[in-house]
Amino acid sequence: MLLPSKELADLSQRFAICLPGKQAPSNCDIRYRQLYWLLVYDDKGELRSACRLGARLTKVTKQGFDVPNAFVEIVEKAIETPVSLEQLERDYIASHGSDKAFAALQAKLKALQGVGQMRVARFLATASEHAKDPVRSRARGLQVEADACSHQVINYGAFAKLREGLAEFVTAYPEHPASAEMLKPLLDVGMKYSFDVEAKCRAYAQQWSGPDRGVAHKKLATLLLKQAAKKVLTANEKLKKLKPRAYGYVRLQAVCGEAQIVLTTLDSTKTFGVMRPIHTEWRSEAKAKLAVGRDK
Amino acid sequence: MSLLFAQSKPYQEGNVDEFLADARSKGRPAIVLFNFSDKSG
Repeated sequence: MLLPSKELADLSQRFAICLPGKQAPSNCDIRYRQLYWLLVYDDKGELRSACRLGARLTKVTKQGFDVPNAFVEIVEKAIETPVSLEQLERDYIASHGSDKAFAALQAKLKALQGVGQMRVARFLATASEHAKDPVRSRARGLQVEADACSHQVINYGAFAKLREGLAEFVTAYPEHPASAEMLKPLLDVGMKYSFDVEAKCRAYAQQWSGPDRGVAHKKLATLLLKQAAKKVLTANEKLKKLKPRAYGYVRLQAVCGEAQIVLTTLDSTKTFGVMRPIHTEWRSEAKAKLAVGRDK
Repeated sequence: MSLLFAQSKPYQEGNVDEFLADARSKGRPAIVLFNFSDKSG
């Protein structure tokens, strides 16, 4: 195996090696936390490569390497990766936030299997001051954040923060073409675990349709309501094919705002770790909705 | 043999940020290998 092995001892002559247990480097967010990860940094301390080690080892051992030599091969290939994530961030600033530099950052994040997405999301927001179109750079940051949220262990706080960021963006920049693009991640990612999506969207729409708002906000409000209605219709179509105990059933009922069904289903379901704050919110909002219905 | 190996581990354990800062200051490329949990999370 890898530990101990002569190959690892030889590798340590050229690379500093750290096995930190459960601690990821700060500024280096990781999804799929149940897996082993390998990160490779160059001599400037910049991130060249990241991969899920198990899958990569399986692939490389199929080429005829034993496990220790497969590990060495993976590290050798990783350090040959020509550009670090940090270099691509510098390129983005130097190009004043060009489309090409953003595409290169996105490609790098894909190659890194999503490692560092939240850090790049923050970077794009702060780098907006150097960009030719600062609002577009902020939108890109939200786009990367939404992608990170949709590929990570379900995180109540992260979804809430994303919703807040997307809604604030639309509120602040209704005239910018990126605002209409933000509605899809708001619905598809930000509200994936929300109760009564149409009601939540009505609240946003109301906020954007007030007398102090312009035409652009009102158009966005209408668009959001249309997209929300479509979302709920799709959820209802999916529900027709699902049994009450099926994966995704209660979430889709929550999305549709079916208060009684959500409460009944939750009562017969055990809630695990990451879902606790979400189920607590569904219960509370479902009870409130039923109470309003009774008062009418 | 394993005792001998344990006395001269070719890797460090513990604080990864300090490790990376040290490697950077020495101009050494670095490898970090970790997992958070053996449970799905």
